[in-house]
Amino acid sequence: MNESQTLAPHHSDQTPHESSNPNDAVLSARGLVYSFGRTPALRGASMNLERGEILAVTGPSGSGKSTLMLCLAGILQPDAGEVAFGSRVISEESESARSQLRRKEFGVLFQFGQLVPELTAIENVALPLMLDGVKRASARTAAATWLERFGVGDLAEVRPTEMSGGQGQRVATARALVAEPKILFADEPTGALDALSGEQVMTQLVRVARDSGTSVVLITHDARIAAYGDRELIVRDGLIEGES
Amino acid sequence: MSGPSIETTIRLAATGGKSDRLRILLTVIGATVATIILLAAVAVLFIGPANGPYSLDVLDQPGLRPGVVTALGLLSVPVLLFVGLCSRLGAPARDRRLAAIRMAGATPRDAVRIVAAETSLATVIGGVAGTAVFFVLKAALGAEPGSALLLPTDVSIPIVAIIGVPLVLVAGTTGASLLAMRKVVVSPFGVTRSMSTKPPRVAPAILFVGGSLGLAVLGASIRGGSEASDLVLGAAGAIGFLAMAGGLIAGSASIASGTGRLLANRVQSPALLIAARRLIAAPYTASRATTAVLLAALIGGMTQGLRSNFLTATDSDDAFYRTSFDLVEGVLLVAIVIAAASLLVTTAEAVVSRRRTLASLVAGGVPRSVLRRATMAETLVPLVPTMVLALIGGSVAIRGLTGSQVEIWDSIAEGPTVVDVPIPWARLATLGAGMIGVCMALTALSLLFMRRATDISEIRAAA
Ligand SMILES: Nc1ncnc2c1ncn2[C@@H]1O[C@H](COP(=O)(O)OP(=O)(O)OP(=O)(O)O)[C@@H](O)[C@H]1O
Ligand SMILES: [Mg+2]
Repeated sequence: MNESQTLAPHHSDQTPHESSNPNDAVLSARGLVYSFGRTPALRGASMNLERGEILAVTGPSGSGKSTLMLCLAGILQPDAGEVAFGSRVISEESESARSQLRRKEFGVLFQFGQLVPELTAIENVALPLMLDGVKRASARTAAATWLERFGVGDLAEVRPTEMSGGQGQRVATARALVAEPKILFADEPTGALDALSGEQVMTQLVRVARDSGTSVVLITHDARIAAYGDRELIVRDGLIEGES
Repeated sequence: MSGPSIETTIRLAATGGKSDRLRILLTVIGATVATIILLAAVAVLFIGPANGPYSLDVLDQPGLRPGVVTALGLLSVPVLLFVGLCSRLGAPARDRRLAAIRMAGATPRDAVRIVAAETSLATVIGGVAGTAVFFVLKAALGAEPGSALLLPTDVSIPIVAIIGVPLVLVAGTTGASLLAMRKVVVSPFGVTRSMSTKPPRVAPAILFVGGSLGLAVLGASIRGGSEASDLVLGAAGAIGFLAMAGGLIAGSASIASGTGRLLANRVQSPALLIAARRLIAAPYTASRATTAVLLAALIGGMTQGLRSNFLTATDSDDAFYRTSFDLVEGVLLVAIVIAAASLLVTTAEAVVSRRRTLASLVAGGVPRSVLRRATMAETLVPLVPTMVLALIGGSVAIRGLTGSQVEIWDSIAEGPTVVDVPIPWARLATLGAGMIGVCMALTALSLLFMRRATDISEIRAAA
């Protein structure tokens, strides 16, 4: 365990989303190609993610948004092209190296399903820290702080099966951010929620990401959710169409 | 009777995806094995004066044959339990189908009947296959007339048994699958297995200890020269055994949740934490998986107790009892492997049915090895203490029944002398370690499903 890593969220005084230096990219992809069998999902997509930026990724259903995110996060290995994270070309690393990268540097958030149903909220959030060798007691303390930040501190001992969708998603967001990732990947994080809980989750997610300088790749088909981004990337037929 | 016709029921039961086919296949295999075992028991039962001789003592001596028949009968129990557990396999897919049937207006009873129909049908197929295999084996192994036979291949099996065995099996497997479905409430919105998270602990303990004490009292009264008939004594012994077995199995759920509670608030390892929480949340899953293994452990403990008693009481040069016990242990070994097969099925089901959660954990960077260890721990952590209890409880109960001392003829003093029967610790430990080894191996085998279950595409799978 890296002792210098602080467990509680820290505040950054710079305003990272105003940075527009192209060399400041935390993550960049060049010519990504990926096919599921004979279905092409990505056909040469390139993009940059800047430090502290919240990037909304939109596009029609089936255009390749999720596949793009899975490649960027090192979950899928692209058939061609490369993904660079700082000086690391992660698209060429081994599965175990990428797995560790996802645990330490990335946070991943899906529409639903990533909480362990048998663990309590606080244990779910403490899990990534415990996986990195943080002692149970300190992992729980940090997890409690993160639950507070997402307004679900009172649910610490509740299991996900007894929570509402919005509550569960806030716990999942706390879990994705607890290890203080450099980048948060979120695929339709509010897709299963009603408009109001969706807004609540997004407001808190954006606030915390800004505070900690975390970059966010936010996939959505909802224009209101996309409006939380600093920039919008449109995916069409496996390619990045244009920027607005 | 209202609801869909038998024809519709069977058609609905037999359609389905890959896991449905796997479930039906395993049920057929289980029924095939059970048929062969039961027909073998029938063959031994019908050995007449004209048959034989056999090179196996346990078959050649008429007095020992009931023991062989009982052993084979008991051997079919883990097979039936296996088939029962199979009916839970591929639950998510089938559950959705059941829910759809409910939407179409079927009642909960109809839905359960569909499951029963599927199991019965698969058992009939297995019964026919098993009968065929049995007669082929019988013809193939009984080639040399005249010389002493190894197996009773010369016995002709009565037609009643050929029809009766599959019928008994259909009743058995259908009963077992209904038992496995017992706590399932099929609603139009999907299936929820109702689960109680506080399994009973006092009643099973009373049954287990009471059964053991009952056997001790029975033993004391036999040694004291009881006048009761063999039938009464036998029935009393059977009740004592059944009480112990029932207590052990019912109590295994509370041992599972107890070990879970013990660990959940202490462990530092994420794998153990997940395992502990799963044990607390679903203690019956753990106990259902290990029922057959625990029965084998109880009987194994009893066998070791008996062996120790017999070998102390008789001339140790006499190989007869030794060989007989070796045979019993051979049968036990087969039973253990069959029993552990249910472990394989249950663990694989647990992994596959949670694939969306597991896949998203892996996507989030949780190493698969952690998930594998969690799954192993979930099975083995409660199994170890329960198995120790079963082995020791079984051998202690037999010690109570047969006494801790026996009278033997001392050839030096030329008179009877009383010696202690040793507790067979070494053999019990070996048996326990071996059983846990087999269980570990089969649980590990089920983890081969882990990679596919955690494939990223499973994140899209329905819960
Ligand atoms: N597991 C899979 N197996 C086969 N084809 C797949 C799989 N996942 C995605 N695809 C195909 O790849 C293409 C891109 O899919 P992707 O999920 O990336 O789209 P998306 O933009 O995220 O769509 P949505 O908005 O509906 O989530 C589609 O044609 C899809 O059918
Ligand atoms: Mg998508």
